[in-house]
Amino acid sequence: MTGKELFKKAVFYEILQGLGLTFKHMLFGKTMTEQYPREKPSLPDGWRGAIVQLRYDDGSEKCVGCALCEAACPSHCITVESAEREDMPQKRYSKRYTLDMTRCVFCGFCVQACPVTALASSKEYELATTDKRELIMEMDDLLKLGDKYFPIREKRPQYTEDRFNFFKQNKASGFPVAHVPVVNVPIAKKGAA
Amino acid sequence: MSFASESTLGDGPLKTMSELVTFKVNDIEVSAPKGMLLIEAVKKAGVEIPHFCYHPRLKPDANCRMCLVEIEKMPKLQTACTMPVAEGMVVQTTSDSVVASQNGVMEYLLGNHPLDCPECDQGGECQLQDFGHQHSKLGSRFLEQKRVFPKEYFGPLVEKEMNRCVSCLRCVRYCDEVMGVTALGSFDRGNGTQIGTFAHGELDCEYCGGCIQICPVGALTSRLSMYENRTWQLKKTDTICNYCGDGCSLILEGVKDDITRVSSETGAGRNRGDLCARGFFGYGAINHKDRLSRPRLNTKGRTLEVTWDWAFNKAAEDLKKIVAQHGPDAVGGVISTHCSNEEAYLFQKLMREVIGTPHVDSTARYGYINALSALNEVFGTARLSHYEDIRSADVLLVVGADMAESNPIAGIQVKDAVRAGAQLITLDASSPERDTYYSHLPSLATQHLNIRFGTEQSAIIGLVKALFDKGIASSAPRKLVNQIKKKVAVISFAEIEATTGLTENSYRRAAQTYAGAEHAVMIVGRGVIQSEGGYQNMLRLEELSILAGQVGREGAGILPLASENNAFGVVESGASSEYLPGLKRQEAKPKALTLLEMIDAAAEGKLKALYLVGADPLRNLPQKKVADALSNLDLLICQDLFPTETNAHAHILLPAASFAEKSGHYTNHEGVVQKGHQAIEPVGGAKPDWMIFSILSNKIKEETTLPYFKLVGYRSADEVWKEAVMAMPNDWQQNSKEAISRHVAAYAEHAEIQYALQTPRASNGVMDLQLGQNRYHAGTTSRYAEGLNRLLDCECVVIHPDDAEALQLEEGERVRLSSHLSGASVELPIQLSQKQGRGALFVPEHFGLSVKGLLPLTIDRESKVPYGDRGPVKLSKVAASTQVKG
Ligand code: SF4
Ligand code: SF4
Ligand code: SF4
Ligand code: SF4
Ligand code: SF4
Ligand code: FES
Repeated sequence: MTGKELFKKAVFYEILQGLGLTFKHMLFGKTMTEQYPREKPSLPDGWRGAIVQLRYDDGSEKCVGCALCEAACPSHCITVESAEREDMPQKRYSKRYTLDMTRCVFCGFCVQACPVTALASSKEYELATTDKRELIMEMDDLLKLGDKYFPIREKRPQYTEDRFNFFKQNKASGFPVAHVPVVNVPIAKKGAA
Repeated sequence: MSFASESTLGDGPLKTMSELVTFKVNDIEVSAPKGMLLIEAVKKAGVEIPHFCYHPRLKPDANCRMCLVEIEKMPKLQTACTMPVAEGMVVQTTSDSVVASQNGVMEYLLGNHPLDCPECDQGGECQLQDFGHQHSKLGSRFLEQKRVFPKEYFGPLVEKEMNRCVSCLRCVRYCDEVMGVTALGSFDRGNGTQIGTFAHGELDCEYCGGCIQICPVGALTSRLSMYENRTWQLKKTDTICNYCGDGCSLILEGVKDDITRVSSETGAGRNRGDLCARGFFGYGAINHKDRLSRPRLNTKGRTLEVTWDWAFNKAAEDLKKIVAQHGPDAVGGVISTHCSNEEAYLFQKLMREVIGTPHVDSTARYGYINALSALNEVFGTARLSHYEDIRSADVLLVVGADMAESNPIAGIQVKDAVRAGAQLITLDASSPERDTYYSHLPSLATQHLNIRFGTEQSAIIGLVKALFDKGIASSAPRKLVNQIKKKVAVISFAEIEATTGLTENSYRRAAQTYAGAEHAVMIVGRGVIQSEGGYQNMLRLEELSILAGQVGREGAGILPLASENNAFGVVESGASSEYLPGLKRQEAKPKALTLLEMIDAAAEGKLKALYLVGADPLRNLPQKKVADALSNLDLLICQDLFPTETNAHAHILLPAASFAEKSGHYTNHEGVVQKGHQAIEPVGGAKPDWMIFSILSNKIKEETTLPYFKLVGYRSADEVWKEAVMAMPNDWQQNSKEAISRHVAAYAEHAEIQYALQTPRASNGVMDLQLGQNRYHAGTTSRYAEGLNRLLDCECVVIHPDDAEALQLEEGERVRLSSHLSGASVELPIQLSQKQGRGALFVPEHFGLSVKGLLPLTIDRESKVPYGDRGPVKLSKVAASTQVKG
């Protein structure tokens, strides 16, 4: 250790250097105090605030209930219960989607995990509340937040619709059920292939 | 027969274990048995070769080309799924040419694949995902539109998404090679190749779920658990199926305390990973909303839901009161054969030691006890053959069993044996034709002894008589041979033919095949065990196998099929009026009452208290009689999963835990003891049966008012098991040739053999009705399983199409069945089936109670088994105007 280094250590040189900058701003800098809540900061794009759910242009929710966000979330705050949609056969959706904002660390992993970009990090940061239960958000709450921050919506892809036509017709009249009379059906059709 | 001392549970005779060869894979030297497929052998070096069409349960098909590897000195890449390893082979699975070909196959497969993994139920356990990640390059060169199939409805339980299919044909091959059902096929070609039924419609098959499990991608998935969970969310627990005696290992999968899916591990367990519809789709009963959840007291016409502590105190108090007033003999108990060995052991201990009554019985009394006690009587053991023996046997004799319906997995062992070249002899009244998409063993049989309905007893005589011309095995005790010879000499083949409708020749041929076999296994089903004369007929069959020399040696034996999962274990654990644990015969004083005798004693007022654990006598015995007997009781304690007709009469009703909610050992009909593990916490406020017995025992023994949890005697089922095993004889799970021949010799000394021909019944417009098991249901619990109800949810009468045509009946039409004995009648829809014997009707036993009322009840003199599943009925058309809408 040279004498110079020893001297710097003895007088805490790095700390003095840092304080120097502080004093420079204190004495000669412009005042930067923000008058929150009267004055709101303008946040940079890519700000990771509250997680929200998005919709397609026709108002339907994008989420397909795949639970990948649940799997990605490091703080286990997402719970997805998926099911088949009643009105749209063969369509997966989340029957119940819960995001516990009290536990969320705003890491955005869920946003990255979502294969249909149904999730987004919004600029919502004012989450203070007198009732913590309000922060356990259901799908509707998340969609409402999404509507607030993402008014421009993606167009819903249509290509998968036609092939369900057969299904839709049948779903309305009820699927045939393999009940009693079915057993003999193949006998009658024997040989048909 | 397999002997425990001689390395048993391997697959058949030791054929592949012989030679080891050494080969190199990716410069790692490994040795493997000669002839093993390369794709399996490289696993020993920790190498996995990507594959789609290969599956260890199926024969190699080599259609997907994913498994190509480079083998030194071979000009082209070779498919590892068809290549047997050889000495000195040098294999590369990661060389440039291999990687290039793997990338090519993956690009080709993904060219048409929708990659809708987020929505796909296979996501997370998909081979295309896994191998895609490892073996494909990013991006695709395809610009064309992907193929899109219109969506089809593929039945109530299987979901088909052809866009995801990789055309590996595993599903088709499983359905053909394993199930023998052939319901699936592939159609069209090239890009348009798709899987479907031959009639291009809804799937109509045995619904074993095998295609769903074997499909490497999400093209076939379960509609029952569709979109419910992702695979990584599920907690998996190994356990043993609770529906029939086959003892299949299955994996219950669920989130928290909700079972939402069942799967199985290829090659694992007695079933080697195969399951039937009941095992795969029958889990719905576990979390059913109708499960009993709180203990209930019925006093003075009021029903109270009470705490467990209250219920225990009340039960103990009432039992003690009755014992004090009327003596311990006034108490009886019956346990269900779905309970575990631990529970049966503890129950008999509670009855015999704590209460002090000899009156213990189980629902094996409805039939299976016949098989167990007849085998035990002659051989000193009931463990005489295993599935391995069936698969390696060269002759199989199946008597009175419709295995595809009652014991599908044991049936698969038979199908496997037939495929391997075994001769199958079936003896029953069914027709040898089969319905198109259902397997039926007689249709595979080399000889089908198509007897007249209900004449098994006479047919057995025919077989024994025919055996005498073939020559008797030298191992058969002389005394037995002579006695039998004398008895059958007085019966002529002409008489036998008049009764059974089978000629002398068919008996001779069958007897010759059976006795001439190197290893023959006899499989006995409900048509013998649970039908009139069951005990004696079982003895006759055992004698037949002794005379033919097909028992008591390696590879040959007898397998009695159980329709409940633990009939064997419950009796062996001592819950039976004649046996103590370990099938030790007991001479109790006063004589121990059987199930039926308890009901009689209750009706007479001699029995004051009855403890029914999962038993439902109202359903199985004449209702009026049982109802009278039950209302005559001072105390009826019932312990059940669901409300039943019987437990509606209970004074104390205790909710019990199902098999998924407790651990315990179960013994299947081979005698193999297996452990089932607890998957979830008891549903509602239920408790496992063993815990209830343990607490109740303590309550009765100790004069204390401490809360029950301070008194629990056993802390876990394992603790009970340790004690139960101590109560068994040393070698209870083993048997030896010497012990068996000693027993047979002893039996020959005292045997009193009776041979009686049945009298042929004049038909005069009456048809024979058989109650029995349907392939989609087992007992009555399965009725709560949503999946199984989608396959069959109501009673029907099965009839042969020819009979229906003669009566001008159409599928689904309602008919009236009436009994000229009791005058009762029932209206049911009909269902046609080719395999139904002509002149005979079949009704699944799982639903209504009323059909039972049409049939006469007879009681076995020796084993006291009540037979009430067969009888004559009149069938008449319901006039169209009075047709009730189904
Ligand atoms: S932002 Fe992170 S912590 Fe919050 S829900 Fe998403 S994954 Fe979970
Ligand atoms: S938000 Fe996205 S990742 Fe989460 S369940 Fe919905 S679709 Fe899947
Ligand atoms: S089959 Fe596999 S790769 Fe295809 S969508 Fe389903 S999970 Fe994804
Ligand atoms: S449905 Fe599944 S198992 Fe059958 S061919 Fe297609 S990918 Fe293979
Ligand atoms: S019901 Fe019987 S054959 Fe079917 S899975 Fe269960 S144990 Fe196996
Ligand atoms: S796994 Fe070998 S060709 Fe398909």
